[in-house]
Amino acid sequence: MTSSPPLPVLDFDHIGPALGTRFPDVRLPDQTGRVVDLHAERKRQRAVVVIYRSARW
Amino acid sequence: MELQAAWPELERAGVMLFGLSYDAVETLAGFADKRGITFPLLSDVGSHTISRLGLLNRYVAEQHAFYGVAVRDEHHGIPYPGIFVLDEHGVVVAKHFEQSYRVRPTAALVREYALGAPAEAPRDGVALQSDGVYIRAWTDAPMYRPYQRVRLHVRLDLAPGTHVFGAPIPDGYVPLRFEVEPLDGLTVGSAALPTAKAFRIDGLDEQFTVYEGSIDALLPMLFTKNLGPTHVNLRVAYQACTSTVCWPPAEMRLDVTLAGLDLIRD
Repeated sequence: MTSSPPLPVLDFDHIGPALGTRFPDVRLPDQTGRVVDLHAERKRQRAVVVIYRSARW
Repeated sequence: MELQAAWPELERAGVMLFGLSYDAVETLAGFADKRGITFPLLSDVGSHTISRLGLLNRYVAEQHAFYGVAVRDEHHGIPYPGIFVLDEHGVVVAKHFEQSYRVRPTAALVREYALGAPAEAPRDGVALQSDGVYIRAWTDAPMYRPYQRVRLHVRLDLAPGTHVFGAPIPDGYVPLRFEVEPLDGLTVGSAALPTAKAFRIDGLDEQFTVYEGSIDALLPMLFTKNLGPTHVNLRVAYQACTSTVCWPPAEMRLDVTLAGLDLIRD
């Protein structure tokens, strides 16, 4: 196997929305085509937002 | 999608689940239908939101070169994959990202981040007991997929009055240590352990640290291939003492079995 340069080590503490900050507003259509406002949709519940590469490989 | 498995428990706990990717609505509709996904999958065609969130992967070329994968057009716009946990006010209280874009979280990991509590030791898993030390080991799930983060949980329950040494430790004593036997296609990270308590032994000058009661350790594992049914051999080395007696250093080996699943077919 030919050697490749090492991968950069990423500091995820400083990438994307930071701990302790309000997650930014997001308004996007979902799989039914309905436009979803993330904060409005979750009302006052806790939420998990999963960012993933793609539904297709 | 395995996250769907976490959904009922999250829902019962009042936690909402959202997915976000650059896929088009039609693609997500087909995917949700096929996998029985009922939580919202948000469509960020063009990755504008991904970019605004600061999550656009800037190292696609390097990462693909590392894995020997050719860069295709649709790879421009891929995010760093990860999860955010938001509290009732929408504030980020936890985030979990992997260094490798190939590694995906399991439902168990998402559940743990969202619900806050570490998983209870399940009834299945393996256990051994010796010298006032009872050890149990189990994985997040009984199966693994390549490039999916699986954690090996190890719990030690010590009899009252018994402690085991932690690190750092003077020469001649054995600290609590975990090792998984190497396997081609399995990468194991270092164990995450709680902080040991400072301890002095009467008559000795040296500084010791010890663990008492229940100790939870986590070893992150990553399978890079589907090896089929696999035994993960865990070796736990320790030295247990009470206030009156020290046992010789001991070692327990536990064998945890996992079934392998294919990344795409399953």
